[in-house]
Amino acid sequence: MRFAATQKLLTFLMAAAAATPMILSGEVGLPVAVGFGVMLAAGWFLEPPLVATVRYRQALAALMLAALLVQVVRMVGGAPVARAALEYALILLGLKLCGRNRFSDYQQIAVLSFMQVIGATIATFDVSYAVGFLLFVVLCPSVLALAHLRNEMEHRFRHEDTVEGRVALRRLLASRRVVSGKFIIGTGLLSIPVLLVTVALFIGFPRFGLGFFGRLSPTNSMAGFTTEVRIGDLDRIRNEEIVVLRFEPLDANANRPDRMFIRLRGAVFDVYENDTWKRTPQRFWKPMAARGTHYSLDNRPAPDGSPGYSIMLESMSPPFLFLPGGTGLIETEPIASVGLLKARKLEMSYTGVIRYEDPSRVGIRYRVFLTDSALPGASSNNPSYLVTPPRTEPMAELARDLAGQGSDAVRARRLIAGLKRKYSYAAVSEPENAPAKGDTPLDRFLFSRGTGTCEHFATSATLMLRSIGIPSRMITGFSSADYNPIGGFYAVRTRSAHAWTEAYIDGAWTTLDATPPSDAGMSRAPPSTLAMVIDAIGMRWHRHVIGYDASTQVEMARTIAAMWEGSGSSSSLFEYISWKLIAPICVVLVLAVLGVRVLFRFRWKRRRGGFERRVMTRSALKATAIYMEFQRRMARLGLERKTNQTPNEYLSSLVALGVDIGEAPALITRRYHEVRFGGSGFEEGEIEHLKAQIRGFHFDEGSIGMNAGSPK
Amino acid sequence: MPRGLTFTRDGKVFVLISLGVGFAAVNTGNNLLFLVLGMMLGMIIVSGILSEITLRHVTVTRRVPRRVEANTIFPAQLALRNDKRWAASFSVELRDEIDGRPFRRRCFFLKIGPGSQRSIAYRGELPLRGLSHFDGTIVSTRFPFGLFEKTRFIDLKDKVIVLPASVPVAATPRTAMTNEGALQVGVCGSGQDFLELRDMVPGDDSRRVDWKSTARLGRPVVRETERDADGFVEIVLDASPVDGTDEALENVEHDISVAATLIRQMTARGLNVRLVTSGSAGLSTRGVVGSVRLLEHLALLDPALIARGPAPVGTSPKAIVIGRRREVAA
Repeated sequence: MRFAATQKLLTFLMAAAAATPMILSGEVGLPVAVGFGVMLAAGWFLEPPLVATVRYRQALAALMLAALLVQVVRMVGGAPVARAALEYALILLGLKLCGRNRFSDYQQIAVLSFMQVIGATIATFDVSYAVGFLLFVVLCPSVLALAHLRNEMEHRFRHEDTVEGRVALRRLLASRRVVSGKFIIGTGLLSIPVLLVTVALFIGFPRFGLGFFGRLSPTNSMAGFTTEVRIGDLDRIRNEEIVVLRFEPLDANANRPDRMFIRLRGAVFDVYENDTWKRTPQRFWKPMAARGTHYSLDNRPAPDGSPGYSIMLESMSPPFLFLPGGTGLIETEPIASVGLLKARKLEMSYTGVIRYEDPSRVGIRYRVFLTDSALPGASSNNPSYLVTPPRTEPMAELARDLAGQGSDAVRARRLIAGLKRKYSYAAVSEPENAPAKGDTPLDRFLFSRGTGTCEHFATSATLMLRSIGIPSRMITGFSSADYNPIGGFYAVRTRSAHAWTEAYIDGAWTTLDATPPSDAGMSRAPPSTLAMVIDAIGMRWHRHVIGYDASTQVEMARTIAAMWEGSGSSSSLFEYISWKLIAPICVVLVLAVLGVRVLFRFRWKRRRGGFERRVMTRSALKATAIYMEFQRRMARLGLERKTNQTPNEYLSSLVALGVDIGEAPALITRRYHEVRFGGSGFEEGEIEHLKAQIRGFHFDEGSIGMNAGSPK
Repeated sequence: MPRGLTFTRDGKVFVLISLGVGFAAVNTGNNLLFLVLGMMLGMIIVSGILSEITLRHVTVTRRVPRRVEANTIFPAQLALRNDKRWAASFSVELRDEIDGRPFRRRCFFLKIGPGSQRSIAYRGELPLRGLSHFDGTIVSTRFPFGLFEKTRFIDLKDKVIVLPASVPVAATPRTAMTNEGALQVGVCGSGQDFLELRDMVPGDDSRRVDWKSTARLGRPVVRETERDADGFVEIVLDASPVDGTDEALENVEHDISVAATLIRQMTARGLNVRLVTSGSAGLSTRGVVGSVRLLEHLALLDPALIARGPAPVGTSPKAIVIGRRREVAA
């Protein structure tokens, strides 16, 4: 492997591995991401002497300066500083890849790649970071070692001062002798101890959580759950496949359905103005009383064996908990703050929405216990629960027609049933070619098109209930989850975002869903096995890496202490291990190692054998192998054959050295020539005899000679 | 074997960045930063282990001349053998330690394969006369990442006599030569002065037959002559300093160098040289090869000891006297 080519290949791989998580995080703009890709591709082909010319380097410097100016202007114009800095680092990396000439360029590429890795820690918590980081760790030792060797070469040969130095450096860079496949594999294997240290430090380093600075980049807001929701907002996220939360049922039932329909309540909206749902200004957030790490919604303890779920929620804005109906008790894990573990702060609004404290923006893990508790937010005194927008008389009339007469419960049931019967579900809210009459989306839905999404149904149901005097509010959340058998959890994706209604009937809030059953949302194909594997890895990544915190450390320490004392259960320590997940990873790793080995072997054979490999007879191959074994043995004894020596010259040099070599080397050399080039073959048992002769070579202590020992 | 570890500039930056990342990780609780911190610390540890492996099982051999001249370049050779079976040693630097100080010349080996040996010659130069001790060789490496320089001292002792340097000196006139011409030494030789007559024996040169005596005695007689002895130049060197100041010592060193230069010049011209210093009765030599003995004597002169002794006394009034105390016997 030529030194320069090897260094180039590994440097490009490392740069790509470092930049990919940053690009996938979405923190860098599309033009910058595309530009980096172009520079990465172009840089591969741009080589000295072109990149060493003064004009080229001046042009690169000018581009760097221009990029800096652009980013500064953007920052002045209001672009986030962190984003602008990350983008500039990516641009610099791309430009540096296009200007590789000396050691310093490679060193700067390594530094800029490292900056990408650092930058990505504040840009993404996704599993793509894990992949990028792993590749970076594997490649980094090789790249740094090669950069160091190049530095030594340039420094020692003073290539800028003398012609001889330049020639010598060029020869070394083109040499295949400096680094080999073994070197790359060896330095690559250094990543194993590096990773071990990484894991040890990661597990053992106490999480103080001083919190002087927060995360630079705020968590992205999710449409449908922010302060305002327009009809159609949920369509935007329903078209995506982002996993929002994952949960595991707490019961030990081994049979899990592939898809679970579960209503996870998130945001609550009570004001409808100008076709937009809003929340009354949130001045009524009240801290929830904590008993340790438990928060009760109905002031009742959860009975033993209560069903429930362990939920892991991705970081999102606003930081609302998603709760299934009937939740009576919430248990969260404590968070570290200024070196102390404390209960996480939960607050509840008057509408029953619960938000959590998320200083590190990594999401939250919590467990919910179902106690058939009433929906939270019991107050119905809020006048906005009965407010309908102006000019909705036709809708109110329709509501009265559908609801008829009777108690609130009966009227509400009839109204919901009427909506389900009369209207049909559509995958999108406003098809382009749909006939449209009316000023508002609701008018078009109710009186013209007759089809709509869950937001149309929920909004219509809420406003119609209000028009007949029943307090009501609109809820957004999620309605279904797909089981991941590899990870053993249910994944809730954005495509299952849903809207429904809660009405205050007979002194309690009741869930009413006017959306008729439809296959439109549910007929999507379940995730592929690969997607499930990736999701399972992502889940483990989030749970054990992103979500690893002080409380987990304390729990682990307790478990280990208990095991040490002999009273603990080892299963608690290994509960994180999922062999279903680890087994495929191991298989992939083993296959990768075998593949690399086969590839290297193939390349090695091709290089050593050249075209002659095809015409060499079996005996010739054996003769070559025997002679090479002879050479290796002699080299180990300090009598290495020089590269410019023929076998005969080598034999003569051994004799000239006064080495007592006996007849065996002459025999081996002669037979090598005869079989390898003379077309003759080996006699029966001759190969074993020659090999035994080779094994018999050894130093004769006290003399410079060497004797051919007896065959062993 | 003693080991040493020093930070390179890149290493200092790396450690500072590690501390920064560590602070950021502790402060923010961002687990990804803990991963990065772990990676950086892992790199530091791996760097230490690998550099240790690089310096292990290596053997150094040195070849230097026994005598060298001060301030004159001399060749030296350092060879490094990697005795490891599998691992190559990369980026190894050798540096001799002479008289307790690392020598400025360095020998660099980019790669020494397992079981192989490489050697590099370097140009040495020693400034001061005397006996120089090669204490050992400092083997160092910055491999693999250039963050730290690990050194290992290999005890490899050698001695080199540094002869006094040559300094510009005017050519010595022939008049300085004592007893120029011939000396009676009473030994047969190829001189001009008659020594004796003796009977001719087989092997004698027939041109040496004294025909008159042969005729007179009736048997072949040859004429023996006395061997001529060349004149010699006597150099009287008083290498005692006036006082202990640097200037006085420099003057003494200069005087020694002058003496050495004269010895070299004269022996090169085929003259015999006799050197008289304090505490020595006088050393005579003939020829360039023989001058080495005088030069070694000069190289090892200790001015402090000489100052305590009497001034050197020459035997010839034409002796070249060098030094402070110019006393020459009549």
